[in-house]
Parts: sequence; C-alpha cells; structure tokens
Amino acid sequence: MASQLSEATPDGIDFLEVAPENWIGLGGRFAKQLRAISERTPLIAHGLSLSIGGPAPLDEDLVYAIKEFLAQHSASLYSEHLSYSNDGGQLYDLLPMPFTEEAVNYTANRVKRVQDILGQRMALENVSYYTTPKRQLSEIEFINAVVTEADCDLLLDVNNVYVNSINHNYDAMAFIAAMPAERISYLHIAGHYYEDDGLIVDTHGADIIDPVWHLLEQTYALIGNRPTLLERDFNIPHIDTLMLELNQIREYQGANVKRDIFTA
Amino acid sequence: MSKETSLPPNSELLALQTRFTQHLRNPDTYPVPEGLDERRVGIYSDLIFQNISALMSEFFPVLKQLLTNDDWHQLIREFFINWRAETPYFPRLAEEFLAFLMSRPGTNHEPDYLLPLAHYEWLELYLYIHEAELPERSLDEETLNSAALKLSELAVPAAYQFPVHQIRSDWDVQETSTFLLVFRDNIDSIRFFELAPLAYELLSAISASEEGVIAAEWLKEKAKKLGQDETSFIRFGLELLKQFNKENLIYAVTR
Repeated sequence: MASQLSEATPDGIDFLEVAPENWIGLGGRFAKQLRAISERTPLIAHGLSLSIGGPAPLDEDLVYAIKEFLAQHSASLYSEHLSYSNDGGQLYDLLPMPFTEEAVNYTANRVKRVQDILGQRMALENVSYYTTPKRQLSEIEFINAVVTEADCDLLLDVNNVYVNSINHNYDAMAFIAAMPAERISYLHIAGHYYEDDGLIVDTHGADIIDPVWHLLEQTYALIGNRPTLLERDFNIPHIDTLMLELNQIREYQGANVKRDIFTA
Repeated sequence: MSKETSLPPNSELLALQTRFTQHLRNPDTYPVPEGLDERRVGIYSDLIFQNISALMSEFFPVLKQLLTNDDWHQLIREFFINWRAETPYFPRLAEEFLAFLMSRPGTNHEPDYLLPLAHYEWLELYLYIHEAELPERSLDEETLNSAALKLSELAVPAAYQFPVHQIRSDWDVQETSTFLLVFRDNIDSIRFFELAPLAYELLSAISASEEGVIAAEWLKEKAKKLGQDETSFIRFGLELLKQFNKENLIYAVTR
C-alpha cells in the first residue's frame, strides 16, 4: 500500500493515518516511501503499543519518539486505543480494560501525562471488546469518565460500536448518542469478520457492511460531519475499490444538513 | 484523587489485568479468569497468538516454512510464556524473537540450522530497515589502497555453519562453513557476497575497527603470519576489496 501511495495520492484522499510504531526508527525503502507520502498528503498518527491503560509503567520514551514523529511528518493528530497491550512485556494486541473507577482514574492520569509530554491533546478510541474482566461501570460510563477526567478527545470508531452492540447486545445508535459529541475529533469506519455463532470479531480486513454504513450516516446526522478514516489493515484491495468506499463516505457527508459544523 | 501513572502492588486493576494476561500467555497453566466466558476470552488468546505468528512468518519466512506446524506453534507459545518483549515497534519484533530464540536451549528434534537461519533472516530485515545510507560514491583506487578503511553499517560480514543464504527446503541442508557479506545496495535491495575465509577475516577486521584499517598493512601482516609472498598477497587482497568498493560499501576515515 505504501509503495502504491508513495507514487501518487489519488484525488479524494484528504489525509492518511499511520501507526507510528510501524515507522519510527525505520530507514531504507519504507522510510523513503513514507517521506514521499507525507510531503504530499497530511498524515495523522494512530498508535498501537502505548498500552495507555496497562499495568506496565508508561513508556515515556515511546511518547517522546511519537512527538518527534509527529513533528517530522507534520502530523497534527495522535490517537491511541482505550485499551492495553503490555503486562510487563508487549502482547501487541488491544486487550479489554476492566470498567472500574480505579481504571478510569489511572488511565486518565496516564493520558494527562502523555498530553503534557506531547504538548497537545490526544484522542482515545473506543475499542471493540469481547469481554471485560470487571464491569463496575457501563462501557458508556467508562469511556465518558476517562475522556472527561483526562480532558482528551475521542476517536469514535463506528465499526467498533456496531461490533460491540452485537457482541454485548445493545443499541448502537443509543450508544453513539451517549458519547460526548464535542470531544469526538474524528471517526473510524471499517469492515470486520463474522464468527459463526453470534460473536463478531473485528479485523479491519473486509468491506464495510450495510448496517455500519447506516450507522455512519446516522452519526453524521446526530453530531455533524467529522473527518472520517477508512481503516483497512489487510486483505487490502486495489486502491480503486477503496476509493468507492471513500466516495460513499463523502456522499453521506455531502447529504448531511449538519455539515461543516466541524472542519478537519 | 491519585495522580499516579503506575499501579501499587495491592491494586485491583493490576490483579485483574495480570490474571487476564497470564491466561492469554499460558492457557495450560493459568485457567480462564473466574466469571469470564471461555469462548470470549479465547478470542483474545487466538488474536494475540495469530498476530505474532503472522508477524514472525513475515520476518522469518524460510524458518516458518522449514519447521513443522507443531514446532512453529510451540515456538510462538514459548515466546509468550518465557519472553517479555520490550520494543513497542513492530519491525523490531524480529530482533526480540531472535533474542528469544538465542535464550532457549532448543529441543532435540529442531534442526541444527534453526538459529543460524533465524539470524540470517533477521540480518536481512535489520539491513532493510536500517536508518543509515550508503556513501554517495565509491573510493578512488589510491584512497582504497592507502587510507584507513571502514565498512558501511549497511554491510555486515557474517559467518555461519550452514549455507543459510541458500536454504530453501529441509532435505538439502548440509553443514558447510559459510562466510557472507550481507548488504543493502544503493537501490535499497538486500544482497550478499559469498566470501572466502580470508576475505571474511579482512572485512570483519575493517568492520570491527573503530579507527579504520589500512588494508595493505593488514594484508602484509597476514601474509607474514601465513608465510605467503607479501606483494602478490597484498595485490590479491586489494583487488578483492574493489568489488565491495564498487557497491559503495567502504569509506575512508579522515584522520
């Protein structure tokens, strides 16, 4: 994908998102491709390894490296997952937070520390989750409490809301309505993979399905348009196919009467 | 309200998270945390396992291909149980996996070339993503012959007991002393030179030296030790360096 995009960025792509942990410290061909891309197309950074809610000490070296990465590529925005991946060693996946007061307080403190180092706000993403070790608070209460206490932004992943609404049996639109709209800085939308007996597993490896499109349309109507990122991590089709999905996003934004309340 | 960014030992959060990841790392020893649905927790076990397995297959494609599925799965499982990977950076995971492989005793039925092959595959990736760039131009012959020389960080002399650069299928792997110069060329592709033992020795000396090595002097010493004719030995050695110089792998130290 990077090699395709380093040649030219198709019209209709306003910004691209990269995981800094895939690119920091890289030289050679990959680094040249990323430089070619970021010279032409605005980048934003979406982290994977910070383990913001995890039991291991906050990796401040990583935060400083991300700060440098943001500056180097003039990336305006940094987001991470409201999740953890490090228990003293990296597990390289997004593990489910216990929804507890202690977790709220602890995670919010760490977000504040990250924002202090970066000198800018960060956004936390609502992750897809299949279970939680403890449910003292509801997911809605948990997310609201963390972003309020940390005073950070929210990256609303519409696909994750859909996946969670199936897996935990709730109303996806009611969930989105309960999110702090004023903190939602951008949206993610993606496809996912179905398991056979009722659970859906989020993989970012498939086309977007109709109910998720519908949810996106309703989200714009409710909170206004937001910059929206189409996530595709593997099974990546030809860029033309992805452009069809991007055009669909643009169509929804164009049709939304609340458009232009927020700008990228 | 606490401003802590670390958890105290008596933290409930710490206990909840530790119980959860202990099970994910080592499901045979640590049961599914009480009260949680086995199938839902199992999604996480599968995700972390598949994720690392897929990444390692990308980093070590030949190794993956040559091990049985059981051996491969056993390795990945051991990685979770016995290793605490520190790097937050995905491309550096190859380094973590190699360090993990080097830390373990191995088993009888694993092939002897497992470690050398893993090292070679790691080296290819290491060079591919290295931040250094080659010198803009090669040295003129006068400088090559008389200056103190250093090797680019993008060229690594490596000695193996197996022909790791040729291993493709299990049955033709014979133990053979193998000396290579693995390097990234000026269009960022990874290539290698097969080396004679003496060339390996010379390049290793240049590579390891802080202040640089004057090749003619090194060759002269070597010729003495080996009881060889100095003039032809030096001429032969300098001729050899030319092919590496042509790839811009050598630079001169300005003293």
